[in-house]
Amino acid sequence: MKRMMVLAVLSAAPVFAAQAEESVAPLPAMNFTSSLAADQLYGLVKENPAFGSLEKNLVGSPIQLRITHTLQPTAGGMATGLLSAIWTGGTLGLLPMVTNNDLVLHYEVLVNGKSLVSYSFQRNFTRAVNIWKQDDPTYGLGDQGLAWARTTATDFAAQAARSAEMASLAREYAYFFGEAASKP
Amino acid sequence: MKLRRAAHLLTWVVALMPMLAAAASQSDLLLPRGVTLPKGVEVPNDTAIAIYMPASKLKSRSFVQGAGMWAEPGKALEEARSSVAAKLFPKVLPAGPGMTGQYGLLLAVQPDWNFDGGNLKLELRYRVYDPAGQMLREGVQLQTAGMNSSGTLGGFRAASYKGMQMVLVDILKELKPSAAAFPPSGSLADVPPARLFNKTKAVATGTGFVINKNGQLMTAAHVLRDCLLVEATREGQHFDARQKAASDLLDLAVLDTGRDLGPGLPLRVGQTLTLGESITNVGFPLQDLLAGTPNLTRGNVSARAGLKGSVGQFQFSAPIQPGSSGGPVVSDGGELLGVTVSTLNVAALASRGLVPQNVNFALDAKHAAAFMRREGVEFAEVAPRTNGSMQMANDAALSSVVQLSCYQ
Repeated sequence: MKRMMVLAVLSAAPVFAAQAEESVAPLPAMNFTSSLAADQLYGLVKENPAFGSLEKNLVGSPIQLRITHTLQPTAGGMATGLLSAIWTGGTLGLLPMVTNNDLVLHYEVLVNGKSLVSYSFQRNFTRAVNIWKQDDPTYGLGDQGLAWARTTATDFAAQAARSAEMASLAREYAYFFGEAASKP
Repeated sequence: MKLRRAAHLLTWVVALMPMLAAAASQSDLLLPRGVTLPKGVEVPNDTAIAIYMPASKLKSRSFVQGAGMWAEPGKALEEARSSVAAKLFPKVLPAGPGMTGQYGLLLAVQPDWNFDGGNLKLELRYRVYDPAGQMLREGVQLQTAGMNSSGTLGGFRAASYKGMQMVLVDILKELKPSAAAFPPSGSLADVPPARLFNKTKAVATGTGFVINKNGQLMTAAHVLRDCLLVEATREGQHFDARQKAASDLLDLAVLDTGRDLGPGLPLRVGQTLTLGESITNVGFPLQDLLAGTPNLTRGNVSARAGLKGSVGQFQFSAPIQPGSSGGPVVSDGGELLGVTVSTLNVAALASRGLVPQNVNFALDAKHAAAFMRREGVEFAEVAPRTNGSMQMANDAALSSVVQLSCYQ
């Protein structure tokens, strides 16, 4: 069945952690995990030269980039969703279910489990979801939702690559594990 | 005429009713259902109250992959401390390291979460002080909420909000506070940490060891995270230790004690490591279960590297447990080879049908040396001792270790 998903952007509010800008430099190798669209977001973050050493399955790395997503219901969305769920159920899924949520993508760099920098991107979406649809390549976000999620990866990489905290981490990494560190 | 007066009176009553209702309902809305306050106690209350909660509890959160949501008990507690408390005490302010402001009452809260058959149980132990440091009240509030009450994973909020409300109601009932009775004469910057934390129970325990003759200790940085007080224990003696330097990247820290604790563990010149060489590990693991005597285990250097992607670590086979972190890995020559930092997540691997044995990781002493050079921490180096023994290793390790307790 053809996917039926309508997505309307009601508001956009990217929230960035305070940061000072420094020059872009290659960052140390770090492990990558994501709760959503891992392959796509991984590729987009890695496109930034500063994140060239980003890898999946570097489970022992002291540095980790962790992306998580949450769908936070809005007050209006809960009421709409309840009514829509009744309609959808009553028609055995012939009518799509309309939902309204704030999608939040949270990017966090951790050093041995301690948060170093974090960035959150938030947008409100109204979607019509076909409950019979399976294997949705957009992870339930719809084309526009996924496109927006992809932009956050690029934005995150650009911002994090210039953060003072990441630059300081890169310097410390080079001090202890760089080529100079191995010389007597 | 009478009819006109009656109509006039009725008009006034009707006009005043919303105001009377609003006045009556304001305290009703602020207080939990069925709770009444003694006469003369007003809410919102004008007392400046400072509330402390441990940093580790306020930061506590985990991502629930299946639900696509964060379980955020820390955020719920922070909201209870700020917005929920502000309804009863508009002049509420957070207390803790680095906080400033004036307070009339200081409330130190120690939250503890437990899970029981799908229910969340929150225990709030609390103490209330005046600006002079006199304890005015202490108590415990217990709250239970379904994990998903008030929405998915909403139980954390439900329990935190109600628990904080009940703690503050207890203060209102028993202390009958007001700005006149408890003027904001206390400065948060002057509050001694000992007034905030619960000395009866450490938030975390770990292991450290003497690294030089200046009484400085080395341990893993994660042992000290967010501690208000670090207490070292050695042969029954307790003393404070203060963090001098730390690296989250290395997971390494050095503490000052200001005491004479002996010569400390020397490093091997060049910090070389032989694959397969025997080692001794000493620590103070599982302090909730085991006695406070050091645990000594033997093993060998089993790999020159740790997990895929790790840097600066080697693998060793001597068994370790939670609480062993920060302990020394010592050669048979009595030299420091590494610092215990982590182990494999056995539970996660067991769920995949894998049962690893004795796969533990230590930071290579080479990086500990680089760290100490950078931070100006003195340490000794000795030529490789080829005539060592198990006894020499054990004596060196046992004479240097201390138990570390982190209080928040």
